[in-house]
Amino acid sequence: MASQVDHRYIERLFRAYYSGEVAEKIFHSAPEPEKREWAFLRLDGPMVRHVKLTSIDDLHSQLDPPPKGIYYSLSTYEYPDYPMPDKQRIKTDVAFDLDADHIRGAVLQEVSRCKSCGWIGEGDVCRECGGEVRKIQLVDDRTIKSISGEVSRLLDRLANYLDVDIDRLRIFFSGLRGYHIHLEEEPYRSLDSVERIELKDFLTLDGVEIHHAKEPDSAIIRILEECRDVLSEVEDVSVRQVLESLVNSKDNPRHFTSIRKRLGEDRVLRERVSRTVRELCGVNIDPVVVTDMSRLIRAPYSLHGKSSLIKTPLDMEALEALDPPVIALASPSNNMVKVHVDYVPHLIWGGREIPSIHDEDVILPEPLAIYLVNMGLAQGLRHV
Amino acid sequence: MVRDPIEEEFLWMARYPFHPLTRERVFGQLQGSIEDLEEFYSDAVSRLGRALAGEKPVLDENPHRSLVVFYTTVLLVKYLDNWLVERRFVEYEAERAYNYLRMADTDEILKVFKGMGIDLKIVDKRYGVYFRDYIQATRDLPPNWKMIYFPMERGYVYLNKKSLARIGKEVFKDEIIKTIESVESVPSSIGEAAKVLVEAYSDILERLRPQATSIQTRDVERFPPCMKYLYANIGKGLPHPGRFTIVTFLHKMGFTVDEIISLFARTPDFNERVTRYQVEHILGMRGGKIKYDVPSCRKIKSFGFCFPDEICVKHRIRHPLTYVKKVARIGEPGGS
Repeated sequence: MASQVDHRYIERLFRAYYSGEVAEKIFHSAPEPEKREWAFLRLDGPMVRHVKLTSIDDLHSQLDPPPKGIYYSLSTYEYPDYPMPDKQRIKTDVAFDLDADHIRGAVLQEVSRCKSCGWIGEGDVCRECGGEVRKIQLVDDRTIKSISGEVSRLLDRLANYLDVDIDRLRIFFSGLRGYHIHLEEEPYRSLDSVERIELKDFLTLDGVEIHHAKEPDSAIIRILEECRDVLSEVEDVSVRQVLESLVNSKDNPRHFTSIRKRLGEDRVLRERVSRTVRELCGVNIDPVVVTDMSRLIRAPYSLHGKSSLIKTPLDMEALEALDPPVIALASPSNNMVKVHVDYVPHLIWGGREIPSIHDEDVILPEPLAIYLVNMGLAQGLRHV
Repeated sequence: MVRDPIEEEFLWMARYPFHPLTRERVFGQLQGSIEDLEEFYSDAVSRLGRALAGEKPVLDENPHRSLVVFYTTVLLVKYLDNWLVERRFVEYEAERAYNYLRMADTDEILKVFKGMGIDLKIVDKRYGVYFRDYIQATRDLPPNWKMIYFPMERGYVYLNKKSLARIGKEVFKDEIIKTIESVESVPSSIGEAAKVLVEAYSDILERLRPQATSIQTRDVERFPPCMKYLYANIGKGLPHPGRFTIVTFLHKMGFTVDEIISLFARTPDFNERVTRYQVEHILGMRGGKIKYDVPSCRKIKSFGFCFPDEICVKHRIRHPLTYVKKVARIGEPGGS
């Protein structure tokens, strides 16, 4: 929890950011903004929901005092300011949330804080009193880089198997832990709940049992083929053999049928295979964001409350090159700030190497300092 | 052999009597002369009887007569207004048309599917169904029909003819329901035909009578999403199918007539006497003493109140009461 002094510092920063021309960009970042429910997370805690904005002036009136987070509904409504059952939904964008927390192989830096004595450092137990520690995970450039492959995997699936025009997607750095991908085109905006659940299952491979594949070129077998590189990592030998055989059975229908039959008869093996396929080949999206039609999403160009980084649009080039680093692109300023850091491991933040710091007053990029304050790892924000 | 195109068209309509193209061309005219259909009642009773008995569909009827007999049978089903009878009829008619579809050539297949609004294309002897149409058509089929188990390319799910015909059968079911729903009125004399049917098939109808639902809940959180929606909107004035559906469901869940009426008291134009009459009529306490059943999911979908959740999809729920039973068994939603 930030101290009063830090809280005021952050409020001033947010106020300065929202007092500029950015309100216009935020308002127009939502297709049909006047038909959306808008929501504002106040710096002192409560979320104000069911707000209808008909103009940029309406948005301005919500920006003082500055909010900690700005969100809009994925759905458009006849009456966006009415309570949920009365809103009368019109259409719902599809959004994909790829968050480092849920992605296999995401690189996160870890800090441990002792639950008893408050010691802070790295390790599974407290080095002062041997007590239990709480793990705090930190994002840096490496995190964002480590999950960009997952975005590519998602885009490939959408383009190759479905008919999504990748050029019409809007891809954003979410402001801290990953990416938001907005699909605002028909027919996807009109998908009903059954279709959204199927779309989610298709991407995550939830509930998919590979022995149901009808043909050697079924989508699930092609998806497996696309994960060929990671199949060798599968430690369970019998599962690996089944998966490799399936991938290699394309020109041998009889072989394909015999593997399917074997899986059909062996429930235990089948479940192990399904679990492995889901882990290796499923796209790690937050499933609820795809299926929940009353979902709110952070507004593009607004600040992330924890990091003060901007939810920033990325083109394919920026996504592939990651140079300059996304965190640098998303920083609202190049300001440096003084702060007392309790502990932080080595980080790479916006292309800048931050060495491990322990109980020290240091000068850091402003968003990083705010992030550490919000994570309880630093305090005492001061202008340089 | 040179075929008469008019005759060909007639044969096509007889094969797919519920098809939108047939409905458009024939049923509008028939609806205008429903009082003149008495000569088809006995054939309609036989046709529905075969459906109730679970017999295989007859394919070689006189096509000219069969089209009118189908429509008359629809009137009979509409009159009986029993979802289990309706389900047997829908299954029978869908199976009948499916048998034709399996034998159909490419032109006929394209005409059947496109006429039902299905986006279908043929590539390398495979049939590509647009994924949205595919999902809608397979929503009641077992999970091994997920689109991912078939070849997919740029939004299309590719099927062989046999699989395509199978999903065609599912779309037929929706069209048959739409046909029944499109009937505006039934002839006054059809009650006699219904009596004949009820007498002839009393044992089957008795077996079809739904078992009393042992599982009841008053916890709205455990209602299926359609009923949650209707329940939440009772006070705003539901359209007739919505009122009918929620009344039958709440009664099955153990709500008394007075409790149900009190829920409607929130409507702006509430009139207790009228509401009581309507509720008691739906519950078989007045009028024809027909006790209406909770409509099936397919029918609720046709009313426009179907908002399926994960449980509906995962367990392929086909009737709201099955949802309640399923939730009671698995403890979702709301937890134990």
